[in-house]
Parts: sequence; C-alpha cells; structure tokens
Amino acid sequence: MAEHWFETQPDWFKTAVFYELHTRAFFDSSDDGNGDFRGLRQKLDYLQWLGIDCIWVLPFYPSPLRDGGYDISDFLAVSPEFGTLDEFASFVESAHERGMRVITDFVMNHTSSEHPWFQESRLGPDNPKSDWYVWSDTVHRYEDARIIFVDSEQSNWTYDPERGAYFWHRFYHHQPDLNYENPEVGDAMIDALRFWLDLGLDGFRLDAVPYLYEEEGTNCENLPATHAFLKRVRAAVDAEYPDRVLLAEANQWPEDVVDYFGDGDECHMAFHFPVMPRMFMALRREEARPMVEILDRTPPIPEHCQWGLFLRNHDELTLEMVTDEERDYMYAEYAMDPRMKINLGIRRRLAPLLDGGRDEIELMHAILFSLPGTPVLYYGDEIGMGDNVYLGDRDGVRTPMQWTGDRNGGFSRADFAQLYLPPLMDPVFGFQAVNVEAQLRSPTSLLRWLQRFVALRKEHPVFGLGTYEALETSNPRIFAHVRQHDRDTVLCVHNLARSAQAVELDLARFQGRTPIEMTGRTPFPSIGDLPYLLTFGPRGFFWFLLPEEEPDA
Amino acid sequence: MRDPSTLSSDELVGLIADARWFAAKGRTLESAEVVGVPVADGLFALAIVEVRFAAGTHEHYLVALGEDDGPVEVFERPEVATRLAALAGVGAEGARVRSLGVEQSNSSVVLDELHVLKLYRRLEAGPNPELELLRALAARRFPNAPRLEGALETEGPPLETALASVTALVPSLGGGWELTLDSLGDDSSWLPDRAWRLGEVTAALHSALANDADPAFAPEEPSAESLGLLAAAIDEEIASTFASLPEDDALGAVAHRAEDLRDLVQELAAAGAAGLSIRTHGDYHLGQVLWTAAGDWVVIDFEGEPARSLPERRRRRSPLRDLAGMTRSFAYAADASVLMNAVEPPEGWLERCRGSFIDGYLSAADERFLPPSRSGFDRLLGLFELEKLVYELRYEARNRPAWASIPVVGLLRLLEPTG
Repeated sequence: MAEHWFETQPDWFKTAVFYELHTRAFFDSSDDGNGDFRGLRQKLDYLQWLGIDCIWVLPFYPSPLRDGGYDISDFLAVSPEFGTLDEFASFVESAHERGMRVITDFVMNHTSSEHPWFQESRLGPDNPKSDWYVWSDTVHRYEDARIIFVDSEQSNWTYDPERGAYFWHRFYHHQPDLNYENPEVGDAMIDALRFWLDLGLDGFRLDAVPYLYEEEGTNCENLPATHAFLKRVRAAVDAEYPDRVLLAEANQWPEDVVDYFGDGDECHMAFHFPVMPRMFMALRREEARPMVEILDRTPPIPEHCQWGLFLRNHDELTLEMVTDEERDYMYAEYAMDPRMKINLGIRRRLAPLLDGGRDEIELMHAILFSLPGTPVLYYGDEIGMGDNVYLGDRDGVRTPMQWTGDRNGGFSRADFAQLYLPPLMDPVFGFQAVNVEAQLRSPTSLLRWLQRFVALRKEHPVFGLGTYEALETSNPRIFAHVRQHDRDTVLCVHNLARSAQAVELDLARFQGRTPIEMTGRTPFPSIGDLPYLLTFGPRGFFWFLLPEEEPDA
Repeated sequence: MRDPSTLSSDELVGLIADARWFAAKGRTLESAEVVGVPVADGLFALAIVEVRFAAGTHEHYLVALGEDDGPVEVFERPEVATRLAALAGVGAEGARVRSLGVEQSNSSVVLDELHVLKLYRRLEAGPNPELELLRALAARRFPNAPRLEGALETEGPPLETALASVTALVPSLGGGWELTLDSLGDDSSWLPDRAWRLGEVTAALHSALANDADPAFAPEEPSAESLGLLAAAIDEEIASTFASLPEDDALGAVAHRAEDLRDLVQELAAAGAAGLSIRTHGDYHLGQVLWTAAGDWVVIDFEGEPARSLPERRRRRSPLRDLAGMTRSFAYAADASVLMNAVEPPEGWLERCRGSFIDGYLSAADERFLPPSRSGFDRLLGLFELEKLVYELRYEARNRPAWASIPVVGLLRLLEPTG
C-alpha cells in the first residue's frame, strides 16, 4: 500500500510530474514482442532518474484490442501478454519503493462487446443483466447526441440481431455503453475500482466520463446524473483509500470541465484539453493570444483540485475544442499529409509536429511546465521520438520505446516480425538516431535537458500550487506570466517567435527586486522605475525567481 | 508539559535550526509546525515537526520535547532515554546514560555500556534502511554487525517510519577512522595489516545482504541503461559542482578540468556488465567500522548517506560503490593525518591499504555481484571513486576549504593514473 511508502499528502498530485506509457510499448522481458509488467519494472530506475512522480499506465485489461485496450472485456484481470496480477502488483510495489505512484485508465462508460456482461445482456430482455446496457427498439432516441468517431461510425445506435434491438454506444459500435440508470452497474464499477486500489494502485484516469448517463432532449454529455455518480465514486474512494487521485478525461470546454471537480468532491484532477491545441497554434502564429485567451476563459477551480496539462498523449492532437477556422489552420500547419488526420485531430507526436526543432521542443516544455497544472509527459517524447502515419488508427504514436540503437531499438529480443508494432526506423526519428542510450551519454541531449528541467520545476512547488496571472506585454509575440505561492514568486517569459524579440514588462509592483534566472541562477538587473526590458533569441525563454530580499551572493 | 501542537513556529525553529542533526542548514526556514505526536507521556513527547522552506518544500524532523522555562530538547536526559529504550522494547531502568556525540544526522546515547539508543532525526516515509538491514543481517546470521535489540516505529499519519532503535553496544577498541589516524603516528602498518580482513568482512556483508528469499533483498539484474543512468548522474554532478566552484588557489589544479573529468566518466562507464545489483551499506567508510578487542571488524550505521532521499538509500546498487567509499576513506585518512597531526604516512601506505582491501574483498566476494573482468572491475570502481570525489570536492570547497586539497589530489590521481 502506498501509505507505507509516502507521507500523508492529499495534494501530492499538484506538485507531481506524470508520465504516460503503454505497457505494451515500453519493454519486453519475455521476448514475445509485447512489452509487459516485468519489463516495465526493470525500467523504473530510468523513470526515477527522469524525476517522474506518477506513472499513468494505459489499459492493460483483457481486451479484443479493437480500440487500443479501451475496449475492456474483463475489469478484474491483467491481459496475459502483459503478465500476471502478481507481476502487476510487484511493479506497483517497486514503483512505490522508488517514490513513484501509479495510476491507470479505467473506462467507466462502456465495455467491449465481448465482455461477459454484454454477452449476457444481449440474450434477451429477461436475463439478470438485460438492462446493464442501453437497449432500444428504435434509433430515434437521444438524437441530439453527436457522433464522436466521425470517421468510422454513422450512428450512436447499432442493431444487435441476437437481441433484436439497438444498443447505445458513444464510441465504436463494438463498445456498448453501460446503463448507469441501473444501480447494479454503478455498484459493480465501484467494486472494480476497489479491486485495483486494494492492489496498491494510487488512482485512476477515468476515461470518457461525460457520457455515463443519457437524457432525452439533451446532448447526453455532462448530465447532472453523471456528476452525481462521480461524486459517489469519490466518496467511496475517500472513505477507504486516502491520498488517491481521480483524473477525469472530459474533452470539453473548461467551463464545462470544471464541473467535474464538483465542490472539491468529485474528481481531483481533470485534463485541460483546449489549452493544448492553442499552444501549438500560438507557436505557429508566433503570438501569445490563443493561450492567454483560453487561460482567461478558464474558471477558477476548487482548492484541492488541479488541471492536468500535456503537449501530446496517446490519442490524436484533438481539435474538438477549437473553432472550424482554427481547425483548418491547424490542419494546414500541422497535418500537411492527409494521413496525419484522424477524427477531429492530428495523429502525430511532439517532435515531428515541431519538425524536430530543439528550440521549439524546449519552449513548448517550458510553457507546459510554467502553466497552472500538473504536466503529463508522453513516453518517448522525452527523447524526441517520431511517429509512423502509415500505421492504422493511432498506432503511429504508440510504437516501441527506443532504448538503444541495437536490434528492435532495445525494446525486445523477439524476432522483428513478432513485434506488436514495428519500431521506427526512419533516418531522422528511427531508433538508430533517437534512443535513450545515446542521449544519456550526451550532456546536451533533449533527454538530459528534460531531466534537469523536471528537477528544476520540482524544486519550486509554486509551479504546481501557485496562482497564475498573465502579464500585459508590449510585444504580442511574448507570453509572460507570474506565478505566486506564499512568498515564492516566479516570472515566466517566453518568446514564441522564430526571430529575436525584445519586450518591456510593467513590473512596477516588484520594484526593487532582483530577478534571478532559474536555470543558471544568474542575477539580472534589479527592477526599477522604468518598464523592465528583456531581449530573447528565437524561441527563447526566461524563468526568473523574484525573491523579496536581496540575494545573499 | 504543554501539548506540543501548541508550540509556535518560532519556538520550533529555535529548537531545530541550530541542531547538529538539522540537515538543511543553508536553506531559508519559513516556518515549522508539529504535525504528529507519536509518543507523549508526562515526562516528554516525541513530536514530528514539519519544517517548511521558502520555496514551499518541507522536511520532517523528530524532536524529543520537554519543558524547562520553555520547550527544550531532552533526548539525552537519562529518564527520557531509558523510557524511550523501554518503548523500543529494551528495559534499562536506572541506567547510566552517556552521550555518543559523534553523529551528524541522528542522536545516540549509550545505556549502561550495554545498549546504543539512536533517535532518528530526519524522518522520511518508508522502511528505515538501518532497521531493514540489521534485521536482514541477523536473519542471515552475519556476525560482524551489532545486534538489533529493539525499535520504536510509528504508522502515522503523517508518515509510517522508524523513530528510534536500540542495538547492543559492540565492545571495541575504537572506530576505524580514529584508530587509523592514531596508528599512523607509531604503527603505520596497523591498517595495511587489517585491510585484507576488512575486505573479507565487506564481501561477507554483501553476500549476507543478497537474499533471493526476501523481495527487499533479492539481487537484481541491472537494466541495460543502468550504467548510462549512473554516468549521466555523475556527469550532471560534475557540471553543477564545477559551475559553482569558489575561486580558491587550492582548487586551481582541477578547476579547469571539468571537461576532462566528464570524458573520464564516459570512459569508465564503458565497464561493460556491472554484475547484479544488491542492497549495500550505502555510506561505507572507516568511521563506520569498529575494531574489536577480539581482533575483528564490525560494521555499524546502516542508514545510508544522510543527504540522499530514502528511495535513493534503499536502492540496489553495485557493491563496488561501498568499496569506493572505503578506498576514498583510506585516502582521506592519509591526507587528514598530514593536515591534522602533521604526520606523513609512509611511502606506499595508501596503495598497500587499498590493494590489500580489494584483494581481501575479491578473495571472498560472490562473483555474481562483480563485473566479469578485472579491467571492468577497476573501471567501475574508478567510476564510483570519481562520484565520491566530486561530492567531496563540493562539500570541502563549501564547508572546509582547508581540506579541499584531499579531493583535488584524488581527482588528479584519477586523471593521471600513471603519475
């Protein structure tokens, strides 16, 4: 149990750095071409060195794998190719031993059509599980609900010849939605959460939470009944399992997402989706406005809650939360090849999106780490891994982790043909050019830079706990803001332009203080009466401490 | 006495800031608060104090609180020490209590010349490495460590951890550090004659600490990048240490050699396979071994390096890291003898100690824990010595500039091994 390894700290997730990974993609200890929990356990020293506080493991449950494992056919087991329950528990224990926590995905909304519950439910209206799913004799119900996977689904209803009725699904037609109107369903799901918490897990990323309930005449998203159920989940977790975290995946506007925090009695964390595409937009347009606007539009959240922030994840770079015009712009700038598009998004990794530009990658991490929230890194992005747009669905961003320049990138000793997906082998992003081993050796590598940068952020809890205030700047290409917590004040200034820039900042209220640049601890000229002048190289940034007293040295 | 939770931040800071065991001396203390009182009786209270720093981080310390005119630290008072020993399961009522004022990071007293009571000062959640190692060594019947007689632990909140331990006092002629320095004046072959045995005991210690039957002590195959991670960590240490090195003539000989040292890291890290990783002593040096009247070494103090976090101290590593700690300690003794006592060790003293220690170790070591070749062994040992030297350089340059010549000489020796 985590209590054995960590001090009591309900807010631990606010100052943490998260790392998202696929067990399948990380390291193969059994030479069968699939990563597994024993392999993942062997790589914990690497994650500890990188400074990771919490590992988010993507779904590892038994699954027909028609949706990357989000189509779960048994909530209480580990899929055999990843190992046994014991090996999973041993991985969690070993992570705790190294001061890292572990959360995993939990899909509340639906199951795989192969789940025994669905197989039983489809038998007819008279069996005990008949209304564990949402059945209908007509497709003309809940017609105001949008279709999410527009590329592959025509309707939210699919006819099941076995039952002779239509079942409801917000995602793929092989993922029937559970019927939360039946209280037995909620009980069964909370019991499943308990099962994993008892094994030592530190929390869950709750997948697709806005869609739990349906109601005629609504878009069937974010309904009050859905929030009521999540509060029930939270109360059950709080009562029995201290210091755990529930992280909501609700790809919605911030004003809707904040409801998932409740009054601090629903989810501890929620992803801030809309800020992410706007970071990429801001970079390409070389202006701070898109980010400043969305952060302005973000309501305050309850005290013990936190945003989850990310640059890229296992899904497409989602463009649901942008205007049509913005989406066209993003496609034009970041998805030149139509194969790069999927659904309403772009299926590419961080480094290729930024054309491998080191300055751009550093700048985007700096902005990510400086914003109010907890950064979530995606495996492989720390070394600048690429993607493979010729693979189906979102597999192109889920290729094997690149450990070395050896066979299969050091991921597996299996035959190449056995690997779950081919590792990248292109000359720019392939494992011979981009791998952990080589980057560990080079002090100037992206990996080594990021390790130092994670350490820097963690020295200053203000980034996780502090207030955020955007600064008006004289130069629209400069994104500047102040973070404050207790007596710790940090000024973050970023140049979004690909050219050198200067900016004058009104820092009158900090007059007399001496800014100290945080990476090199270099004192800058004191803040005087005049606007504070800073100059930047292309895509450059400065983070300053603004200590109240004169520095000692 | 007063309820400890009513103590003000200023009162607590006053108790802690100047204590020897307070580890965060150069940092700005913002405030302090009692966050747990695992033991309270009329006489005293053990209070867990959360000390907060300006940046918003915090650490936990354990204080034994009593009351005179105001709150005072009372651990060394006989009635408190005996009561604590009793709570740890060792009856010693009316015992004579003497302070063992040698440690930096914790506090220890001797009861009736029979028991050593140690109060852990800086608390971190997780199994206390000293209790873990002493229990594991007892289970393996390792004879050259003190016997654990009792422990006082708390389940929290705010954290689950050990507060105090009682071990049997090992009757000895003294610690390895003092005995070595004393011997250099009259009997300079004292340590060289005993270094082989020290190597053997160290090898036996490592064998006892590797136990497949216990998950916390099972040896592990290091991952493919483990040497790369180690080298990267040392490389970062070199970079940050040299970037902040003060202007000092004593450092001049190495001040411009950072790049050479970083190259050396890469060279030494090409050691090939490192052997299995095991739990180690973690803070191994001459001050951590006693020479007994019976003529043998006993290893003490299993907490690991106090400056490192608990996960770091519990981490499995190559046992060669312990060897490097000891060989660097020999070098320190040689130079300290000059600095403190103006006694120059005889020519070849260091090489004899080092060679005999390593040969003794290799004669008894489990080969599974070692690099497969002697050249690989030498490189990996050199890498760990370099890691120590960088730490020494930073510590001495900041805290004891007069001693900085010790790591400087050591670094130059590593850079020019033939010289």
